[in-house]
Amino acid sequence: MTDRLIPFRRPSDLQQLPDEALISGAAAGDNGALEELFQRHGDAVYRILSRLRTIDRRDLDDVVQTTFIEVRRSAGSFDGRAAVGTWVIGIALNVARRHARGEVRRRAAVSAIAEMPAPAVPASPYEEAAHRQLLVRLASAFDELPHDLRVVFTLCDLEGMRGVDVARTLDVPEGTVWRRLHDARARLRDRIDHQKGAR
Amino acid sequence: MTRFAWLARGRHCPPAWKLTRAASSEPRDPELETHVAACAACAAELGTLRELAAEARALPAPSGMSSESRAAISARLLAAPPEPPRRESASARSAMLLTAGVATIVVAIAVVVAPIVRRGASPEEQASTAPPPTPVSASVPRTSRASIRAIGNARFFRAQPPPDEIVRLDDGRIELDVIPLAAGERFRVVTDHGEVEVRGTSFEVLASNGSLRSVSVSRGRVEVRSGGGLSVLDAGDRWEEAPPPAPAPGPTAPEATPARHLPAPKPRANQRASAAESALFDRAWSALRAGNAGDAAVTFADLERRARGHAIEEDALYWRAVSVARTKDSASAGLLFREFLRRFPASSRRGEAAVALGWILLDGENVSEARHAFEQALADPAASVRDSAAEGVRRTTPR
Repeated sequence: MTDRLIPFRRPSDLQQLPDEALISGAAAGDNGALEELFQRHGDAVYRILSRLRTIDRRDLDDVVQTTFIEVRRSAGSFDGRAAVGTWVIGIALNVARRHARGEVRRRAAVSAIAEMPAPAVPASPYEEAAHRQLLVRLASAFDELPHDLRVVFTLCDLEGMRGVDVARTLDVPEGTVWRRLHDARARLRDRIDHQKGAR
Repeated sequence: MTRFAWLARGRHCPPAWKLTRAASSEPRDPELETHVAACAACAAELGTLRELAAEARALPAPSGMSSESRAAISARLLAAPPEPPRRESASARSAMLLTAGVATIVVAIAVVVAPIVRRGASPEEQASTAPPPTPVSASVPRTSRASIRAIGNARFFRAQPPPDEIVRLDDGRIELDVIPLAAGERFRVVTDHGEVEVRGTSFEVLASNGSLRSVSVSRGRVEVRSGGGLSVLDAGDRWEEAPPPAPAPGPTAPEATPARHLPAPKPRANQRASAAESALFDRAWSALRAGNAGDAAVTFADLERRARGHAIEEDALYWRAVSVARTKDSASAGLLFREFLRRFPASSRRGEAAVALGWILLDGENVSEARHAFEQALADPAASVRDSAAEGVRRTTPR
């Protein structure tokens, strides 16, 4: 669109359509339908990508946008086996994986740790410090996880998704999800214990 | 807390991943629970896993997407250029067909820079000589009256939903399947300086630089409005615009393009509003006064349709634009103010409409066109309009 055009107005009737109808519209190139999908699922995508900590905050918007452009490109192959939201997150994770292969990966991990906010409910100054140390160690250990394990840990333990949905999102058997999650937790625990011992 | 307890578990213990699953928010596994109750090693591991999961959940949630990010991504998605879909599934295709309905008509709209299609060619000839369309993108919201496919890199957007549906075409060729319209419904394709209204038909339009160049009708009836005139074309009819005049120094008014074959507007047979029209006007005004801008816009639109050729049509269109602007639908309001200025260039409300359009364009960061609109109102008789126009010109003047 050129800047001569008056901005598109999102028809309110799109808000009444189910996700599947929006996918059909997006598959046919309807940007209004695509934008409505973004309104519905953009927050979840943004939150999960934030939690993965493989993407610099300055790049998050671009990755979210790329995700939904990819949604439009792939919409024709949506087969309805998974919920649309689950399917969109799967696409976001693939986009994030490609992005993470770039040179920004290390910078992102470092900056994410530095920007990590304090826990919401501190008990006492000592407990607060101890808790914060634990979280920092956990976050640091998390950043060292391989991508596959990090994704499963994020979706299962941070996002609280059911294993069957995670399996659909990642297009892997459910047993693989549990094995990866177990491996992720084991590595995290080992790493945290190692950090404790090193102090 | 040390390493995982599974190292000490026995060979009769369940696989570790089952404990992992049990430590997650998953349905209970009675068999596993029975085992864990009797196995200290597995119970210890399960406890460790649950503790870690709880610690992970204590990690602070990341901050959400900002409203600025949301708006920026939203705008970029809406403006994303079309690209070929990878594969269109049967389910998606059938959904589109269901959306379009069984009884559809085909409307082909094209805005191209190519020369005007040769005069007198039959619709069949034109169809046979035209390159096969390459579907690139489509727009099929369930409630829209049309599915739209862009041919090539067409730039278009749906400016207004039904019942008065408007598709704005900036450049390129689009093909539309339009569902037969019900009473009170309209469907239009609008360019900068002209528009084509569907009357249940099949037709083709050529345009360039935002102006209509030619319209040929193969089926049904089409209404063409361009250069301040109106023409109704039936099957087999063809309308062509004269070549653009030689460029003159200075800015060119968009509505100055003459139409060679466009008949002059028909005389307005009845300049007085009928009782029904007056009642409709009062109803619309009451809605606007009551703050129901949406209802007012719909009623003014209805009045505008009924009052074609009557003096009240001018007021209806102006107040319709105002009502739509009050619904915060700037895009549609801008189109309506443009339409008003084009159709009623001598209106006493021209200055007000131009200023309103100017501010809408400026909000959309279209500075040059906004300045042009403001300049049209600098000599308005009303001081408030002149002041607003002057302020608009000041804000759009490069420093």
